[in-house]
Amino acid sequence: MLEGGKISSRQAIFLMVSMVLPTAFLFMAAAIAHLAKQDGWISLLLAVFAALLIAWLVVNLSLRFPGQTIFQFAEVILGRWPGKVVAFLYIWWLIHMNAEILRQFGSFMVSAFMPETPIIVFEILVTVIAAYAVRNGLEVFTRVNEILLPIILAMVFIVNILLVPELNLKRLLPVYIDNGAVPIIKGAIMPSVWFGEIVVMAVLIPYLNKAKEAYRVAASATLITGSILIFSYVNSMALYGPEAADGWIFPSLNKVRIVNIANFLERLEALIMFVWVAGGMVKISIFYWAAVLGSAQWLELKDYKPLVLPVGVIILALSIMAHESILGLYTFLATSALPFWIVFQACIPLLLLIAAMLRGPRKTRH
Amino acid sequence: MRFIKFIRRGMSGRRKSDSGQQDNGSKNQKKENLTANQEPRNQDLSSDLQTNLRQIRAILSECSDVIYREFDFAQDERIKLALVYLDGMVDKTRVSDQIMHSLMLDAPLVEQGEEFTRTRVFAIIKKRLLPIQQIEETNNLDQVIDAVLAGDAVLLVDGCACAVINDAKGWESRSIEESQTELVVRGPREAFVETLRVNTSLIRRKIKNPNLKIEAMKLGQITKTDIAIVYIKGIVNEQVVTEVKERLNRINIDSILETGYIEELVEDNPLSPFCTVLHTERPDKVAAQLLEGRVAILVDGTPYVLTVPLLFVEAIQSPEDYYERPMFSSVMRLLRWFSMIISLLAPSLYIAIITFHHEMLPTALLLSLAAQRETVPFPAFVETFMMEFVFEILREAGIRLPRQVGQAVSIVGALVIGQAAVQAGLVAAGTVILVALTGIASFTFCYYASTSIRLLRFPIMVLAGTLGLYGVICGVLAILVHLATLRSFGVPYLSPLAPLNTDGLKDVAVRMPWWTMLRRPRLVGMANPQRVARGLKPAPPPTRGKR
Amino acid sequence: MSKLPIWLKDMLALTLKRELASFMIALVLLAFAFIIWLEAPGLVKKKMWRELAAFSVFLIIGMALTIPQVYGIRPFEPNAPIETLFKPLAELLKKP
Repeated sequence: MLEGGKISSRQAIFLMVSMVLPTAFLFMAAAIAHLAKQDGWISLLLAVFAALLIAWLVVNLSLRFPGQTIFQFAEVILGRWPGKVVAFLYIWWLIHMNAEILRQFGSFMVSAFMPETPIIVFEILVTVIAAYAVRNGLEVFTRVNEILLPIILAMVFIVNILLVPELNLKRLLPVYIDNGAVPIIKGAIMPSVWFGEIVVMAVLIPYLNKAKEAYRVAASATLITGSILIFSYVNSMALYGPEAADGWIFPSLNKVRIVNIANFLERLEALIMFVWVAGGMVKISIFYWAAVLGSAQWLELKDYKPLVLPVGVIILALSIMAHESILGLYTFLATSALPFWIVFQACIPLLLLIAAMLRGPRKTRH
Repeated sequence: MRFIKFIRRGMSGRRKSDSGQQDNGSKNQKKENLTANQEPRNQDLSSDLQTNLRQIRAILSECSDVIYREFDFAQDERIKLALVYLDGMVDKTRVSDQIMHSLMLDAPLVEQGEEFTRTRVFAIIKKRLLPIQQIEETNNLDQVIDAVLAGDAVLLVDGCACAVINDAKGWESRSIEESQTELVVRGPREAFVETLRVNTSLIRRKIKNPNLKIEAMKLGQITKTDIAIVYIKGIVNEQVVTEVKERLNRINIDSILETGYIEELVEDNPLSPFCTVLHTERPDKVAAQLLEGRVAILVDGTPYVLTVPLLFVEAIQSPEDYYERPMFSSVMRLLRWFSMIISLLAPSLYIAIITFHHEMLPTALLLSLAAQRETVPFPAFVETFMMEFVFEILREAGIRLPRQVGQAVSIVGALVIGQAAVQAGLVAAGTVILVALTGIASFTFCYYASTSIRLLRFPIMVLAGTLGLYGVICGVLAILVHLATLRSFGVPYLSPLAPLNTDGLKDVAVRMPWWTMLRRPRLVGMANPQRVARGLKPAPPPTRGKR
Repeated sequence: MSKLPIWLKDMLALTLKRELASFMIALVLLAFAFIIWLEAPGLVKKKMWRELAAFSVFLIIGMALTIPQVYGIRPFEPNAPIETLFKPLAELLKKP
């Protein structure tokens, strides 16, 4: 096997939570608030449900081909060349996705903290660290994440707790009546697509210690992420009300700026920056690893390490040229990206699953 | 069980590559000869005493400390004997009282009319006339030379192609003293010394168990230093022992003068700034490490002992933690973690906040800092970097200095650099406070970790000076990733934090009471995990009726 | 809300201008040389030709994407095809 590492179920849950949480935590609230207002938490609940379906789909598909990643079993299902095409699409999607994440990362750093620094500086530094982690294998960034995630969660939790005195739960009212079903459902699309990143499980499952627990891993990761995001969303709504939250790009950051304890701990942006850089690094590492591993499997190489740095260069270059400005990024994320990602997260896996079921018991060809 | 796999994988992978290297090496050059003499001798002793002595004299020519003592055998004066030993390396009373006295002076043995024949004389000397604890017989000239050089007294008998090596080692050595580098308030005070045997005895005295194994080997082609590999069979992971032996056997070097030589030659990651092999001079610490399932490597000639595998969290564990009350120890541990963070990050956070993010400080603090910095002609980065640099100079001088002038340096350091620089307006008072705090914080945890942290502080300061907080966070993440790649003899360096082991957390940020730490650290002592019986929590006896 | 040290700001401002593109190009090429130095010798030594070929192809793609950008040219719009394909569908979803 290309990747020698194996990770435990707990480590996998940690990874999957880190994979979805950091970007979602910062970027999602505004988009949901735009559509579903104070009922955004219902959208999030719907999204969690949708994500569970995606997770079930992907895990079910993967478990039919033990020890194989999606890049390999696509060939088993569809035959050599069509399979290669599907695998290539997935590699492209992962690289593209990673470029977008990197762009989000850099955009946030630039617009929230250091507007005079060119975005490439932030992107290069984090890519180099991620490359170092990926080059050392799955186990290494899994372990890094095992240390970082509890710290990140603690910080998110602390920030939200510190705001409790400022909350006004009346801002969450009225529930449902003034919105109706359509905005809520539309508001659920974006978060479900972000949760749908769980599709990376199709690459990760062969490297689980106990592949049987994959369902549990995917489900608990989705539920944990979902509950944290709902908690944070409700908190934002109760703090600002829907109108204000809609107006900001990063409500979570503005939240932190409100915190003021005893006139000393005033601006805890450093916490958010840590959450964002650490979480972003892990998230980038996961997609980066999946992309590199996929490329190596697609080309049937013996080792994926030589590809790490070149793929990193491609990701960096793509992320720089993908958008003119943060506005372009934001429109893309809120519009075209959604159906594009749904294709890769739900449609292709669904087709693959149907094809695999039709093919029947020929699942152990390798 | 999956953790066992972790270890196995780490090791087998390494072993493969290692043996591969060895194969390559042996093909090209068969165990390079690094000794001083060009050709290896391999000569036997002759039966003529004078020939033997001549040969020994030839080899040990110009060695003024060798003593050749020729004398006649008391039992039969026709038999000539000779004793060869090094002056200063042998215990003189032992040589004169127990060897020479009995051979030269004691009354003839009454042997029921039997004669001292030349053929039997050797056996009789060995069996009955050497009242000394340990003797060894040899017929090899090299072995005789090695024994003489190691401090043994060698007895040659005319007419026999054999020699008796008498253990008479006894040289001047430092007595056991209090540890100088690892101090505790409560706990044993003794420290290792430079003599290997004394050191093994210090360990044996703490662990009186037949399973405490002390394996000997010699390393260093010229120095021929004695090495001991110590472990407790039944607790230790056998694979780690074989791994240690394999790595030690691969060493081919002219000299081993300190454990540092070995440390550098057996490390998993030689290019890392972090230590992956522990060195300590406290016998109680080594004993505790052995009891957790680790392997110790002792080297003759140094009071420092190596133990493997080492985990990152041991940097903040002091032996005293286990002797003091757990609640207090836990608080001290948290304090040490905090100090570690201060010592790594305080200067860089200061630089980042002063240069890039003033708005993160409360207004009052910001104003006071700004007032202090008004006269300072340097940017915060240069100022802090300079002061850290000066502090490191002072610290290094403090270590190297002769004791008598130590006072002078501390006066100069404290007064000139601290007070005068602030008064002259070259440095802000805040910076001095910060640098002092950073320096002092780095003494709270183990010395070997503080060296790595001191080293890494400077690149992070550079990152802080160029990219602000983002640079600091990236630096920390890079260090974390690096720590996650490290392994010490197959054990992930960050365990039990990552891979997370909740049982192991009892001994990381806090120190739980002994009656809760039922198991040895996983991955290290998993061959025999249980160490404390269940249900030992003490409680007052149930009261029986009224008092 | 924050400012870079002046020397760094100046350098970045200059490098971002076209006149100093040659300086940037040198940096980029240096980075590529570093990557090659890091990976290629090991691959040659281990005779992993297939890996070496894959490495080179990926690196050439990377160069093709990077070097034009130093001169301020975007080689292509990676998101353009996606947007033409999915925009209509997306517009439907976006309206509240």
